[in-house]
Amino acid sequence: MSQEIPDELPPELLAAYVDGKLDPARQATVERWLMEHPDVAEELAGHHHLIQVWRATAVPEPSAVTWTAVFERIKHSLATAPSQPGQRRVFARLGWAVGLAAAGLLVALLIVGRSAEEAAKQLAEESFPVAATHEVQILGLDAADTEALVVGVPPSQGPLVLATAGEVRILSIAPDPADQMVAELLLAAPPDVPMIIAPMVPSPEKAP
Amino acid sequence: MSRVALGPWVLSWVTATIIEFAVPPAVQGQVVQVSVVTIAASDRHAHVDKKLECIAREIQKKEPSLTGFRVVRTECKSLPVGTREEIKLCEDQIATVQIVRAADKNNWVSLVFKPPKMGEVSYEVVCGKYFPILTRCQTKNGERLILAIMVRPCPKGQ
Repeated sequence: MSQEIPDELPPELLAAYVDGKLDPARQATVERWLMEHPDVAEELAGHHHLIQVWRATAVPEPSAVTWTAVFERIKHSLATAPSQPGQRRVFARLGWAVGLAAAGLLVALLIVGRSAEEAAKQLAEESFPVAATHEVQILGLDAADTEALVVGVPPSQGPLVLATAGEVRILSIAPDPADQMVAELLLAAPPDVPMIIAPMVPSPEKAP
Repeated sequence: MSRVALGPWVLSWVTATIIEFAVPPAVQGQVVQVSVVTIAASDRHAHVDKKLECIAREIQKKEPSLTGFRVVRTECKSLPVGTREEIKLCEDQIATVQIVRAADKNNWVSLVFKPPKMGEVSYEVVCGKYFPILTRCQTKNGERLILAIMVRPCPKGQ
């Protein structure tokens, strides 16, 4: 019994026929159908020829050494300056932007730092004004506290200059109300210094 | 009360009366600065403060047992003529001072000074020079107090 030749064949069947992936029975059916349709047969022959040429002239795969050399050249190109003028402009602009930003930050820090320093200085000056030596007069001071003076001079400086006999006139010496002790006026001959001496043992009989 | 015992009291009253009424009103506004140096003299050491070499030498003529001298305190006060003021010495000891007359044309000042454990001393002294008083007051360490009194200001030219 002869098989019937279909009027149409699905494109997938024809593609499988071209790829040689049909079983013998279906391959025969497709061949009988192509004999009835010479135009399609011609087209399929062209496809088959193209596949054969493609397979005969396929580009050989690069070796591992070739691939390594290519990758190294790519890395080197990326690490160095851009070879393209457009990339150079982009990097130049980026460099300028970074530089200007850094300069601006530095100026800002200097301004802020100086302002802070001036503010601290002003605060120190305003908060702790210290009198100068000529602005303070020490009226009373224990000798043991002399070293504690930061500003000012002690009330008594230098040697004590004593009045001589011609520079003192005693008008009166009253007795001590407690025991009637009368101090003694010591007036030696010049250049001795006159002074009043209170005896440790009172002598009420003595009077100036 | 005997005449001897009454005599000093009368003398003090007379002096005070003279001071109260003898000061002219014109000089009441004058101010005199009084400086009192409190000195401690000891017989237990021989260190003499450089500022006290002169006074130590004079004191030792009368009291040779006093060999060490040191400044305890210096007190300055500006006093109007006629007012009495207390001067702090040391260890709660005080003295009083009253300016009777400010410096005259010869730079003499008149004042009344009362040390502790003594009667009042009325005297006149040139301004700018110290007048020493060896008191019988003693510190807790047994040092004897010496007071050196000086008055200022002086008229222009000195």
